[in-house]
Amino acid sequence: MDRLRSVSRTSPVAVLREIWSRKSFLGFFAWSKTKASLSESRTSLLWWIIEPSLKILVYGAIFGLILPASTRPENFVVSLIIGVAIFETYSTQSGASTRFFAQSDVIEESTSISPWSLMMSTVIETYLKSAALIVIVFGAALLLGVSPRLSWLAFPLLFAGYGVFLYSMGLIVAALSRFFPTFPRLLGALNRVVFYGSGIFWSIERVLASYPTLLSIAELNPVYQIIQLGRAAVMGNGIDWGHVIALHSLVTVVLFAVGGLLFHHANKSDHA
Amino acid sequence: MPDPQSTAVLVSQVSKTYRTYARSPGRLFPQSSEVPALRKISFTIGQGETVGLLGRNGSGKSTLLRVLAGVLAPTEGEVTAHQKPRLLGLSGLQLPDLSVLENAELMLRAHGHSRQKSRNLAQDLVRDADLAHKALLPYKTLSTGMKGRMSFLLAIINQPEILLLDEMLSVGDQQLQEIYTRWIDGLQASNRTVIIASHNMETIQAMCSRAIVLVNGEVGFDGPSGDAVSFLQSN
Repeated sequence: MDRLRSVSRTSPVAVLREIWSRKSFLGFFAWSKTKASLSESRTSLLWWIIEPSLKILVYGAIFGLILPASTRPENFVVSLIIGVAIFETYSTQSGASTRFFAQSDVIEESTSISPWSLMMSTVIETYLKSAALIVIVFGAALLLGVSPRLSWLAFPLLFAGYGVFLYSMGLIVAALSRFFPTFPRLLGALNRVVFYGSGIFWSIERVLASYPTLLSIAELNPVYQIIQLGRAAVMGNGIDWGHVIALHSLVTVVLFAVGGLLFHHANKSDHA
Repeated sequence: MPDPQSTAVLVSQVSKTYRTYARSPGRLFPQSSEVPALRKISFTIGQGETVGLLGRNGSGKSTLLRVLAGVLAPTEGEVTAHQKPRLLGLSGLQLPDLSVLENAELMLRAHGHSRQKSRNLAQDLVRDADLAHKALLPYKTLSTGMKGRMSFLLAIINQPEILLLDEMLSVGDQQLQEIYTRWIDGLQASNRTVIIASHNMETIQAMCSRAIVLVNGEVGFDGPSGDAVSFLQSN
């Protein structure tokens, strides 16, 4: 006969075990939510592709005209598309995470699946919704003369690593949205800082070359790190892979630890 | 001290206080406020018992069930159990824009069934719910009663060892009530532990040998269900 165990305590090992054992359902749930969002109207599927494409066109036109060539990244159009794709993935995840607990509480009650696992489903859903962007990245690269290279195979690995960052950000945003109901309003402003500080349409290395301290701070932005890696993987830009990956891993570990603590407290906090 | 060999659920000095805001008329800013929902509740549920949970609106029944299910952490005290209790309600995993069949399959996958088995079971379930003619239509097109029927049949698919039922007796037509009663009888026969929260005192008396009455978040009575009903009616 099993001994009695606390019903509300959980351990990191139990969480990992549940995510692994429920991986089929978590993927299916993410796919179902994506399908549901696309069935809202007949044109939803088209907008899945049109919306990010329009953003790329607008940013490209405006910043391509405004910014001098010396401040833009190499191969501006492809660099811009990669930057928008990666930032939009982050933005989708952070937006979904603000509403996370409102949905996960009900699901946890009826299925006993923990919010930790459900957050993984949110990351998978984010990736599904960003799939069109990845197609646009490689399609545009080929059209604009970028030759396929071996480093393209690094993209799935890159996105797997990015997934850990997205999961960590999801934990943080969900927890802060639970503790502070007005946090989603602040998140919009914070995301603008991330957007402009990620080198999507301007070259951080070139503009901040004379400001080493600012450059070091900018290099800590994990979205910028992934954009650097993404551009290097697609176009073969010369970067110090080891340095960027190490920095990204360090930042992600810190965010994961912070997110885990906040999420743990938010998970069982008051909600009538 | 209860014998852990026969105890299914042990509730020890559980309190739950919600932090919220109180807004007085005319004041611009709300003031923080605490609402005690449960106050030092203790009881044990034995293996195979079917226990009713009674109380007026706002007495703490739903809060207690959510604490028992591990969805809500108590402010004080602890709930321990032989296995994690499952809370069955009529809300749940629903994606309104997907079809009735797709929603059924989703819930079945959530309960751990394989893809093929979920598809087959979903079709059976939709037929049993008398919704075969609406199987491919969006879930949001169902009436409240239809949703209740569907949700109930989905909720009872898997039967964990310890079940918590929150107000499921209050909804549904006569037919659904009869299905529900037969299902509870089946649970009792299989020696599962069941805690039923309801306002329906007659059904609690019929289904449960024991009932706990909550009064303002405290255990006001814990004993035979007939006496519990009398206690509730007299308070």
